[in-house]
Amino acid sequence: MQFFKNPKINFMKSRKVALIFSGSLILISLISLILHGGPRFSVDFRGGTFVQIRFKQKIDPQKPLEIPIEQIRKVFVDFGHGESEIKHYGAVETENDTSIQDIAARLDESENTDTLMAQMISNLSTAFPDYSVLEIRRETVGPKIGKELVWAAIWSILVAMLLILIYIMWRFEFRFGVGAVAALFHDVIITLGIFSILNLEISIAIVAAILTIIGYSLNDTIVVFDRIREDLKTFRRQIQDYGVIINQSINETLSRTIITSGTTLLVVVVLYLFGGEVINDFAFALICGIIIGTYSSIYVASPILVEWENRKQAKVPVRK
Amino acid sequence: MSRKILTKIIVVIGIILLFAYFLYPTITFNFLMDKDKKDLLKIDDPQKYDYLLGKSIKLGLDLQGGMNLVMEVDVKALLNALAKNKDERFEKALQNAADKSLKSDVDFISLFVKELQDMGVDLARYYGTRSLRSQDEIVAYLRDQRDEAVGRSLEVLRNRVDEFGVAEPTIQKQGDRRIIVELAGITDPDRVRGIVGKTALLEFRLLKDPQMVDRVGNSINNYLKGLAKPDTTTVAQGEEKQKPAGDTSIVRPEEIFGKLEGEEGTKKDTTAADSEALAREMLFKENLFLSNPNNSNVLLVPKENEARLRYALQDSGVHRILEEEVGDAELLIGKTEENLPYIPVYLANKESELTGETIEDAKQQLGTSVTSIGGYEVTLNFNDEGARVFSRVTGANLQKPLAIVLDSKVQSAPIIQAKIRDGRAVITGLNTMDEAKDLSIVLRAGSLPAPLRIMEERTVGPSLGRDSIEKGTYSAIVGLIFVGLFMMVYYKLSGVIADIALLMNLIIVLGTMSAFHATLTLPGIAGLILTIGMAVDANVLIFERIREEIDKGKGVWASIETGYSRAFITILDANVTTLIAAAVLFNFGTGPIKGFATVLGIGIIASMFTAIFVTRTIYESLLSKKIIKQISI
Repeated sequence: MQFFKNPKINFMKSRKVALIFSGSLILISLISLILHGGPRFSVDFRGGTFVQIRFKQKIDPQKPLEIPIEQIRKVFVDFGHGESEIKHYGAVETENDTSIQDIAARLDESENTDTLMAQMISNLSTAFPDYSVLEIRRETVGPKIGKELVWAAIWSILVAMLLILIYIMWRFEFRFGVGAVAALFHDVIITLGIFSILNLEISIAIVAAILTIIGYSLNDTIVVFDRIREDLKTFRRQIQDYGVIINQSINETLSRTIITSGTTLLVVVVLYLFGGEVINDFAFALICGIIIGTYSSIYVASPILVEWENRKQAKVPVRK
Repeated sequence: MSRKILTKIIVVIGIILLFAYFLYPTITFNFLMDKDKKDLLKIDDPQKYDYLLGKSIKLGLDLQGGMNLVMEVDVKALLNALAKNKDERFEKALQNAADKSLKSDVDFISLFVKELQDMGVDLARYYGTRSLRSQDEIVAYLRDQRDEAVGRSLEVLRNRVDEFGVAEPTIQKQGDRRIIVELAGITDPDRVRGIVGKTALLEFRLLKDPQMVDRVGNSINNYLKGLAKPDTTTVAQGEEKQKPAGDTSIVRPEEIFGKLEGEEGTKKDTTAADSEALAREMLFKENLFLSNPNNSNVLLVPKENEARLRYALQDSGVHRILEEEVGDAELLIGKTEENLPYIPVYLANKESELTGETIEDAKQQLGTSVTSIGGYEVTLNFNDEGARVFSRVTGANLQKPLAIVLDSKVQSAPIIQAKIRDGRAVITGLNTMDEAKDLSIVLRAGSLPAPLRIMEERTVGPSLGRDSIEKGTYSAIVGLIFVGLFMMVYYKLSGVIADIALLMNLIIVLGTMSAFHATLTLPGIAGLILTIGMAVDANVLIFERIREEIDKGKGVWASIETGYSRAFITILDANVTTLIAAAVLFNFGTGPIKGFATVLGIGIIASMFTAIFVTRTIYESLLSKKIIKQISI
């Protein structure tokens, strides 16, 4: 079985279109980020408290759960936390033949959450007499730690990029490094943009996902670059146009690119669908990143090499 | 088949076996044993328990439920406690600094000093002494005090570690000011917060004399062995009820473990319960307490019997024996020295003679007196009240041991050599400077409370942890099946070979994690799944290359040769960059994220080996044995 038998797609021909496409995606991402006042940070970075509360049907296990958020908010309002963000967390599920529904809430409070939550849970139990109410996860981060983490995260992403740039410059050439890192910025900004547009939170796990995307996108870019390097050596004499060689390299690796991205995407989609709510956003970030990363190694990293060469040769008339 | 290929096959099989062997403890411990069985093994065969625990994959807090705390010493409270002549301006400066520190990255002491400066108040007003005059000196002193408070809190928490009642609690210093506590499998977060937040209680308690220690040790030994009965006449009514009716002559060991069984116990079939009871009965055949030939004030318990000891100390029968034999006394566990295989147990008065609040200062130093030259010692200063009591106690108990007890754990039990009237005591005979330092830290813990503030707290309930494990494992299996099937369909026999490599990759990753007792977290499972997807990449690269070579009309052997060697460079470059990302992640991340980076890193390295070496070996052996003549790809 083979999906692509010697493909001859002219990728470089459409590179201007791709440039406009990528450019506008980045622009939209940046606009969304600016309008939202930066990425929407989770309690990890912003400080505050995240709680996950589980409602279990006590009386009739088979009865489907209905937990109206408004009713929960009333309890929160009683404690002066009406502004908290409260939402259903994951779908209704069954555990030991009893249906359960989780609620996630985000509070700005990070001090004395013990007493607060204990009282809140007991009030919720009173408000929902048919359910047993249980706090199953709580994450409290002080505002100071959160702030430090933001810097740690930004640093780690920059350090990773710098190290990778150095490695590529050592193994390839400077312009390859520039192409790869440009592709990385492209991937990271668009992923952040998607999260911003969909109003999803950036937590530590998402930063981890972004670093993985960096690694993955590079993996992809390097496979293409490697082929370009090899083809440049082999065909430089026969074909004068740089773009033609690069296009050929992309076509030669296309089959691999699609299969690897496909299998990786497959497992990450499985993770997204079955991995549970806790890992959901993480898997979603990886899905976005893999798609964008695959696209960018063809349409961002490689065109930069072509443009670079064209600029360099602009003074010398080239036979087309 | 050539020797070269044979050697390769042996290497591959050897490595599979090696990592499968590494994986064995994880499979027995994490999958085949439930909590009850583990508890039983811990008492039954502590060495095997430790081996299995130390050589299996540790489940992260997010998978088994647990608590992660990041704490900082409350510098505000510390400054407040250290200051003299406090006035309104002082309070105001402290409060302002506290407000500002929430938004600022500057440390609290600098903020506070600046506040005072802005008000035009001299720091020396509150902290100055004869030797501390200049501002810089005082600031340095305050910083020292803060750093020391961190050390003190660390020491106090480590001392309490057993109270948490979890396997492998982690208590670590992070940076120079923070303390991280990780407690896996905790079921009652409120209790933990209580233990962590409790102020340290340091007491001086007198020990009972050696004859009594000996007698109590023997009685408890006999009682535990089920040979002797505690005098039933003094048994309180309430306690009588706990025992089976009519059974007054023999106390069965399983009663001691009655609390342990819980609800789970009732579900078990009777044969299993019987054999467990039998196993437990076996445990108490030997003596729990051994006497110490060098120091008759102490009873010794071999370290491997620690679990037995803890159960015994909670047992009501043991409490009864104590009450009958000595009345007002308590068995206290002592600090275990690292190189000794015993846990010391002391028989101490329930009442303390005086508490640590009366200690003004404690300092470690080199031995000064004739007897203590070459060793180390700790000097102690009591306040007036402390000095008065100390003088009385030391005068009345010459040549007897006085135990220094921190949160119910004996730190040291020096013998009283003289009546100390002036409130200046010296504890001599310490072997190392560290020992002396630890003791002086402990002695100060009672007088200078440095409350810990929880900066970050993450609690995952056990049910959520179970959810995560189940869903994570399920997704991993589904992902593995999908990828495996796809490879088989797309590359036929070669796909099968790649799948074998993929499975081997998983064995190596999990085996390595077991051998290093690494932690598997939920993001770690995600990393494993991602590795499954990415591990086939190397094979895809190789296979695509081989296909190209075959299309060019090359022979089988030549195609394989070129395919592997060409693809190798690409695989190396691509994987190194991913490794860089994993390394940065490991450095930056907290617990769960570190778990992800670990898995990703090991997975990438393992995939280089399996996807390149293993698959090639399989090809070569199949081809040379003429099992296949063409590559099915």
